[in-house]
Amino acid sequence: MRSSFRAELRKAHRRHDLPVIVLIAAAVIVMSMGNNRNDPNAGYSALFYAMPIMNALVMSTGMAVLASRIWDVETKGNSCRLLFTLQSRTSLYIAKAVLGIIEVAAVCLLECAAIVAFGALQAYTEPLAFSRLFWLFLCTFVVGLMLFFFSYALCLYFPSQVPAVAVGLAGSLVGLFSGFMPRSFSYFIPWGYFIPLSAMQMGWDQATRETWYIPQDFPVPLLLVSGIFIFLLLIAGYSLMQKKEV
Amino acid sequence: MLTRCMIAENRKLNGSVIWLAFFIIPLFPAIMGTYNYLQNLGILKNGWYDLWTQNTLFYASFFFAPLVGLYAAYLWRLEHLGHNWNTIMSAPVRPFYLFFAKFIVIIKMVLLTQLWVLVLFVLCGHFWAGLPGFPPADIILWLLRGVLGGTAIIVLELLLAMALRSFAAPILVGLLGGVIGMLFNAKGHGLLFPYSLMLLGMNSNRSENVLSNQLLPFLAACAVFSVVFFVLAHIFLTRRDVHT
Repeated sequence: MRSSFRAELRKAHRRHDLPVIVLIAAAVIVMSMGNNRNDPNAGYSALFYAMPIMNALVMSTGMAVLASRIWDVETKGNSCRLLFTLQSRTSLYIAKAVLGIIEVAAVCLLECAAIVAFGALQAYTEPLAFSRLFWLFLCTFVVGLMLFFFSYALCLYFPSQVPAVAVGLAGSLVGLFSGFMPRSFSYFIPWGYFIPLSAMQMGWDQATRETWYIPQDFPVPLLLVSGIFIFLLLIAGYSLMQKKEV
Repeated sequence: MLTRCMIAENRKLNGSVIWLAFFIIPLFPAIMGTYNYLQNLGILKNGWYDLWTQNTLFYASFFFAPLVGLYAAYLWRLEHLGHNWNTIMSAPVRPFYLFFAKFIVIIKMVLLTQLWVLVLFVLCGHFWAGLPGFPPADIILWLLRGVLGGTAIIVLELLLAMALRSFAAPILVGLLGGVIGMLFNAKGHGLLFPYSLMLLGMNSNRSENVLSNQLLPFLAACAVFSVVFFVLAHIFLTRRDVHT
């Protein structure tokens, strides 16, 4: 198993996965911070509110891109037949899954690090609530993983990469859309789970155009539902790998 | 020879799964935009014009560039498989013709996409939002201007798909470009960034014509960016990639 993972790391190095991870995080960071109203008294709250919305827009496509690239290397090299004689299908599946988990975690860490760095640069007076930062990391990681494993399963199921990436792109739209819909509707759209999992709400006065942020309780049950989805998608992907014809 | 290249590129689209993306992806901004329009009727009073901004803002800002990236990556996909790159580099065809043929085919795809966006806009406006009559003729002009604004994105995405040799990477770059492009537009510097031109051309963020005094600079920006990317593609194909 260790040698399989080392091989995946070497492939990732040759594929230049690091710039892709940075690009995904950068898209979220640029949009969240570019639109930030720069109120130092509510700076972190504004970021905790904006980040999940931008994650809903970017992460679905981003995770599809990560999963597609991780599997595409075998499709392009036509190497499945050879690999399945050299290593077990299980080890190949797990090695790629672990690599995916590390890459998703790296995207989430970059986002959280950017919040801390941006706050320091802008000299926010609002104290940083580390519990909320950790919750943002956890939610982004869990939902990101769910989307990654969904795309990974699509990559394994279809011979072409188009469905996985196109579904990811459509997922971005649907996920963003769910943010504008009633909360009960957004529970049916896993691509947009970043938004109902957010622990920060915004209120605004139409007359004065004043905005304020309202901290919420952490919606733990929905996070657990996302965890169940990850487990089911892992099993589905594993089964697809075992049955994959070469 | 260019015609033959175009026929070959068109053949790749026959029965392709890319048509599913073509049909499905524009559905979401139309549904999302019309729903948003109906929720904000209190402040959106300009009928078809306001519905247009709601329907096309997300499409032009965030999803046009990745969609074009998907088209471009799909058309380059075959060349990047196996030893096909060696085959095309040794074929009796100017490599640039290959690039230009793909450009023409994507322009055709983009025109069809814009037509599909128009059909969805009319259907949503007429049957869902209950707007009277038909949309104003300006909309057709804006759709065509969107294609012009999109040419720089098309050439750039083709260049990226050719150079990066990855199916998914140009799509991600397209998404990031769209995000940055929206920020450029918000700061009033849309003409300086290729990914902003589509949004400007489509007039997606204002009910009034944003290019009424800026049509010539807009056309110049589209031409300059497109030419620069074409030249880069030509250099890449003739100098960088002769060793296979």
